[in-house]
Amino acid sequence: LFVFSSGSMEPAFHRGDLLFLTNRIEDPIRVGEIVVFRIEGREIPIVHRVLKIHEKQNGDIKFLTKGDNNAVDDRGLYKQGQHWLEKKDVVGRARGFVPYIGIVTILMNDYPKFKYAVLFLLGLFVLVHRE
Amino acid sequence: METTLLYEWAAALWREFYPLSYACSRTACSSNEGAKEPSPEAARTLAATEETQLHLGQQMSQADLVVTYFPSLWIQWKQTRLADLPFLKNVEDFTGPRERSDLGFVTFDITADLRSIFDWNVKQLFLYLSAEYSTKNNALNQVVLWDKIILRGDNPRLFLKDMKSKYFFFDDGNGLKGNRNVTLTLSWNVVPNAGILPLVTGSGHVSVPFPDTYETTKSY
Repeated sequence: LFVFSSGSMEPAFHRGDLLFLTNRIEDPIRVGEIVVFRIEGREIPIVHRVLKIHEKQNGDIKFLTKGDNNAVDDRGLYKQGQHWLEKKDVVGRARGFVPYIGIVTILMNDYPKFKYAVLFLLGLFVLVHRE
Repeated sequence: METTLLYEWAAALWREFYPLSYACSRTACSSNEGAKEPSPEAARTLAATEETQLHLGQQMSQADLVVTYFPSLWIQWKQTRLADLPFLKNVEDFTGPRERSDLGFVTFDITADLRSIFDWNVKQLFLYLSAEYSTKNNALNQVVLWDKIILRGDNPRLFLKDMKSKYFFFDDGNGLKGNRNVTLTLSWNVVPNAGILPLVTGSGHVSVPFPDTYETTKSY
């Protein structure tokens, strides 16, 4: 499961949409697929579309990605000196999604006061319900 | 002319309210059920073939013009003018590894009728043209040359001419030179309002032959 926190895949996916992923290693990586990958040294995974692949006979593959809403490919995001992504960088493949659901987690991250308010209300709810 | 528009408008309304009248889902189409043959004027306004076939520079005779209600596409790479033939350069990719690699230039036309892919749950379509080929270095290469986002409500009929590739068609090495088997296909990713994200490939394809020499003088 993955919640979008940036707008780089708009207008398909907006901040707050929830994405369902699979990570079957035997699934081949092909252009057009939406993959979730992690760049070495960075925590936050990125969800973008595969733009280019070069696969060798033995299955070794190197590929390039790009966000739908970005003007250029992701080379600028990769590690210094890294030009391609590999299978090991892939965390999952996007299979389906539900809109808006994740907006609560994003609001809670962006506005801590909102998070406290939610927790406070939840606490109240629990107290009230016990009767 | 007006009767054609009236016909098309009525047909569009019909399809909106009675989707079972044409047998096409987002991911697959059957060619016979529900496909009607309209008047010749309507047929002429939308030049499409019955299957997703690619015609290389052929003129289609009147007998081939049938309006069909499933995704039809027609990619044609231009071989009519010398200036539009696909050509190659061998340059350094400044964004990538610092070696010279083959850079391909292809000009193409795309005609596509995507009306029947849009149903109540389709938010947008991510359409892309990709080139697939094999080289000495790599058994499989796929490069997206062009893409387009088509939102629900946008015109689903594309008549694109003289298109140049949106992204650099760099090979990983020098495998485009003399490569006669570079295949272009049109595919699309359906983005629903909610649900599964299918990736569909159109069933036609075109082969682009690249020359054996590099082009030093011209560019796009």
